[in-house]
This record gives sequence, C-alpha cells and structure tokens, in this order.
Amino acid sequence: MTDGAAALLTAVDFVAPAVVIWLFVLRRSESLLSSSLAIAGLSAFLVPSLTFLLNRTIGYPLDRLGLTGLAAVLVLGSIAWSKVILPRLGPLRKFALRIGEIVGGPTPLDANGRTRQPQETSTASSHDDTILK
Amino acid sequence: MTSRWPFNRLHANPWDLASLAAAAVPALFIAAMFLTSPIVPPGADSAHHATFAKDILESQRAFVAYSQFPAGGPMFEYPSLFDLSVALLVAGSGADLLLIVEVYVVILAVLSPIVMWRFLRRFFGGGSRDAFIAVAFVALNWFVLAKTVRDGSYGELLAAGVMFPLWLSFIWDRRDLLAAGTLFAIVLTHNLTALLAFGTFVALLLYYALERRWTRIRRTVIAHGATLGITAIIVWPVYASYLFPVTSGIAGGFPVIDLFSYMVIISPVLFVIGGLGLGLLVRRSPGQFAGLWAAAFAALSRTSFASERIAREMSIPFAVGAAGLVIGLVGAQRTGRIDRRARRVLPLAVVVVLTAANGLWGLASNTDPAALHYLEPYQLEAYRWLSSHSNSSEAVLALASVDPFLSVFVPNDVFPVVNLHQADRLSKPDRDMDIALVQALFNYTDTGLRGVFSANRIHWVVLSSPFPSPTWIAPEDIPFIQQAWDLRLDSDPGYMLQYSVTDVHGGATRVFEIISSGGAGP
Repeated sequence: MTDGAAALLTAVDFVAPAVVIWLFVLRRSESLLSSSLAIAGLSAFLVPSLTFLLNRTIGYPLDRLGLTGLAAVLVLGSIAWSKVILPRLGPLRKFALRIGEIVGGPTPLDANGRTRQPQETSTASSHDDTILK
Repeated sequence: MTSRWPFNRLHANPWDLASLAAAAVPALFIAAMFLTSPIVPPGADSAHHATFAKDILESQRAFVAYSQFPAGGPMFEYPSLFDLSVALLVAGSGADLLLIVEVYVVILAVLSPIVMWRFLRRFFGGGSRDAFIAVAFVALNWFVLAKTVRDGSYGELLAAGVMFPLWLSFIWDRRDLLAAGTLFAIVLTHNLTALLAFGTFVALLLYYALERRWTRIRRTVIAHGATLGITAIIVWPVYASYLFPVTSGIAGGFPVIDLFSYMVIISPVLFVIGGLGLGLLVRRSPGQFAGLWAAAFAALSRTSFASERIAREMSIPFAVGAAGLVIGLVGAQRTGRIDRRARRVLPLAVVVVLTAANGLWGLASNTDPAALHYLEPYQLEAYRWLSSHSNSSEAVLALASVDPFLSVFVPNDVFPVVNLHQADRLSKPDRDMDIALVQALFNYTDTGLRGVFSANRIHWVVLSSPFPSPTWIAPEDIPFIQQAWDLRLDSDPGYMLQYSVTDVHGGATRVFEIISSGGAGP
C-alpha cells in the first residue's frame, strides 16, 4: 500500500464510524450542518476511546489491521443495529423506556418511540432546524 | 411525512460559511507556527507527547507510564487519548511520528472552533448571524488554544478544545448518554480538563436548579453517574490515575496566582469586555450558565492544581461573554431600543474592533515558535550518532531541560534528570532516583556514587550547552544546565568522550561513554 493510500485509509478509519453511527444510530432529525458539527467532534475520540477500552480489556492490537478492523466492525455493526436489530426490539424498548421513566422522569421519546426535539429551553437545538429549513 | 434523511435540508447560508472561515483562523496561525518551526514542534511538552506515542507503539499498551524514569517510578499509568490517537495514526499510515503530531494538532485546531460553534449555535440560539459573531469571537480570542499548543500541551487541545464543547453541546441537546460518554472521553484524555469539566458540571446543575428543572438534574446526574460508574468497573486504573497523584502527592502544588494576573493572562481587553458581556448575559436564561461556568473556572483556579492554566481556560467563557455583549448590542440596534445613531454604532464598533484586534494580536504573539524551540541541528546530529553507535539496551542519561527530544530520536531508554527544585514535584521513587542520578553526575569522580548507573544499565551521558537566546528556559534550570555543561567527565578515566559536535554559534553537544560504572547501585 502506498503512503498516500495508507494515510487516506487511516483518516477514513477515524471518520467513517463517527459518520455512520451518527446518521444511522444517534441522529435526531437534525440539519446536515448540525450533524456534521457533531460528527467532526466524535471523529476525534470515538475510535481511539474504543481502541483504548479494547486494548486494556482484551489486549486489542494497536496497528494498521486493528484500526481498520475496529472501524469496519463499527460501521457494519451500526448499520445492522439500525436496520436489523433495532426494529425487532420494540417490546424490550418499551420496557426500557418504562424503567427510564421510573428512574429518570418523563421520557424524551414520543408515543412511537422516536426521539422528540428538545422543547425545554428557548435556545435548544430545535432552533437549528428552523433557521436552516 | 418528513424524511429522516437530512440532505434535503441543506441550504447555503453566507453566515454559516463565514462561521466556517472564522473557525479556521486559529488553525491557520498554528499551521504557520509549525511551518516556521525548525526541526520539531515548539514546546517541551511536545517532546513528552512524542515520547509517549512512541512508547505506546513499542509497548502496544494504551497507557502512558506515569514515571519520570524507565525504572524506579511508581507502577502506575495514565490514559492519554491524544498520544494513543497519534500512535494509531502512525500505526495506520506509517508516516513520521512528528509529522503526524503536527498534522493532527492542526486538524484538532480546525475542529475545536467548529465543535464550539455547535454549542454556541444552541447557547445563543439567535440565528446564523449571532452564531457567526459568537464563533468569530471565541476563535479569535482563544488564547488558551494558541498558548497550550505552543507549549506542546496537545492533550489539552483535544480535551478542552474539542471534547469539552462537544460535551456541552450534547448536554444542551439533552443527549444525556452521549454527553456522559464524551465526559468519559475527557477523563481518558486530560486530567486538568476533566477537573474543569467536573467544575462545569456542578455549574450546570446549579443553573438547572436556578431554573427549577429538577427532571433535567435527575436525568443528567443519573446518565453521567452510571456511565462513569460502569467505566470505572471496566477500567479502574483510569480513575485510579486521578486519585493516585493526589493521594501520593505526585500532583504537587503550583502557586496560586494573584488576582491581578487574571487580567494579564486573559488580556485586559477581553477581561473587561468579556466581563461586561457576562454581566449582561447572566441577567436572563440561559446566560446564567455562562456566568456560573466562568465562576466555576475562577473557583478552581484558586486551588493549587494549575492555577495559571485554569486562568487561561477562562478566556473561553469570557470570549463567550464578549460575543454575548456584541450580540446584545446588535439585537438592541435591530429592535430599536437604542435610538440615537451615535449611541448605536459607537459601542458596537469599539467592542468589535478592540476584541478582534486583541484576539488577532493574542494569536500572533502566542504562536511564535522561536522562544520555545528545544532542538538544535547539532543536537540532532549527536542523537543520530548515538543511535547508530550504541546498543539499544544501553540506557542514556541526559538533562530533561536541554535535551527533551533525545528519547524521541534514540531507541535507548533515556533517564531525563531534572534539577532538585523540580524533583520535588516527582513521586518519591522518582525523586530518590533523580537525586541519586544528579549526585552521581555532578560528583563524577566518586566511583561509589556511580553504582546507580550500572544498576539502571546507564551506559551513556549526553550533555548539551545552554540554548541560545531567545529560547526560554526556567530560571532555576539555567545554573543547573550550565553546571552540567561545565563538567569535564572525560578527565576521569571512568568516562570517555566519544562524540562532540559544535555549531558556528558555539552551541554544542557531547556524548560520553561510561567505561567504568563503579560499585553496586542503591
């Protein structure tokens, strides 16, 4: 592999998991700009943090293959979670929401189990969608 | 039905483009600093981080050794996500480690105001123009960013520059688990920023309490407490590395700065204008949080952890305050609350021009690499000679203050000794080791003291002349370096001068081989 290709692949290993996890797993109905700003920050620590935990618990390797392996698992796992696993977790999700309501107060999710936009403060992120529409 | 896919909602907005441009300003200064910095990045801490990343790669362990010396220090390790990231980038790309450090730092410098922008959009919430004003003020006046990067404190750039505002933005979004996960990443990355984050967390809870948002308090506390508790079970050494320095005294004590120093550190212009802005902001929600945020930093800066560095970090809430003042003035102008033309234009112009000029001057003056450049070409020549003429199992003794990059360029273990005043900040085993090594070096004719060298496989001594002006050296280091440089080790048969190099200005490095190590070590 050439130096340029290795550098590009390394950059992708850092950024791709953050992009996929944000868009498929975490994202509320945010604007692209707002999502991109979050992805920019997540890219800086998502893969290193997970590598750190894996290295300390199971001795995960800190090398080229380890980096790309982890990124691939995160990307494919996020897509599988979003498209295959999550839709089948309805009952479990409602049960978890109920527990969440008991210990943490009213849920921020709507009746269909989707995340609601923050309403609590006048300056919350709901404004982003307004100004960018 | 509204599409979940966001790409159909992207509309180009000139204020957003302007915000992006403003966010790039600090990174331009930092990139220029690296481009004009000869050989290595400026700052002694940059040598530490390069060494840490190299150690992580070689050991394949994601922790950084806490001790000053390869042997003798406490068996404890500190997580450092910046150094791990550099190690991963080097392992992935195969590029030169110092090049990766510089490129990654510039990327972080770009990311930092961009992520801050995400938080500021939520905090001020007045639209793209207000967001631009806020981003511009924070980016221009982020002295801490420039100062810490010039010092080489890159972990702080990642933690305080990128993760801290990301954490705040997630909290503002009420994404409690994401926020808690980001706080864990801050804990993994930088101890001082973790302390500031916990102070800000208390400020946040106070703000919620003032707003009587009890559910938010409960959810925030539960999410953060659960995340930190679970991760503590998995990686207890991470948290122990915070407790250990405090309980054992390694953390040391730094003098608490006097009250006047705040104005000097933040700069008088930002101090006054930011203070006025914070005064304006705290009058209504959510500006109260900015006031509590600054107050939390101020309270933490009165402790002995790192008073001056925390004071530097106060430039961030003060820049937010300054932005708030300008946004307030613009808003007053827009709503007609200020009716006379002179009263409307003058304050706005004065505040904008003063803070912008002050910020640009601050960035420029804090990104001059000359004063913190700690590797001269002749030193590099000596390191390369040592690397090719020594066995990598032979350790090397050097002065940390004058050869900080030695460990980056040689494969050998390096014992970087510090002066006895600085040794007080080391752990007891490291302090004892430092004292024994310094005594053996300065009493080089005493073969009895020399046993500490053989006990630690130290076979080489590298000594360099004091750095020429304008390189900054700690005042207590100047006599230490000079005394070491004046030593004539080769006058003793136990040492042999194997390599010496001198440049045209008189700067020099000598490499001595220890021929006879003397008796047994301590």
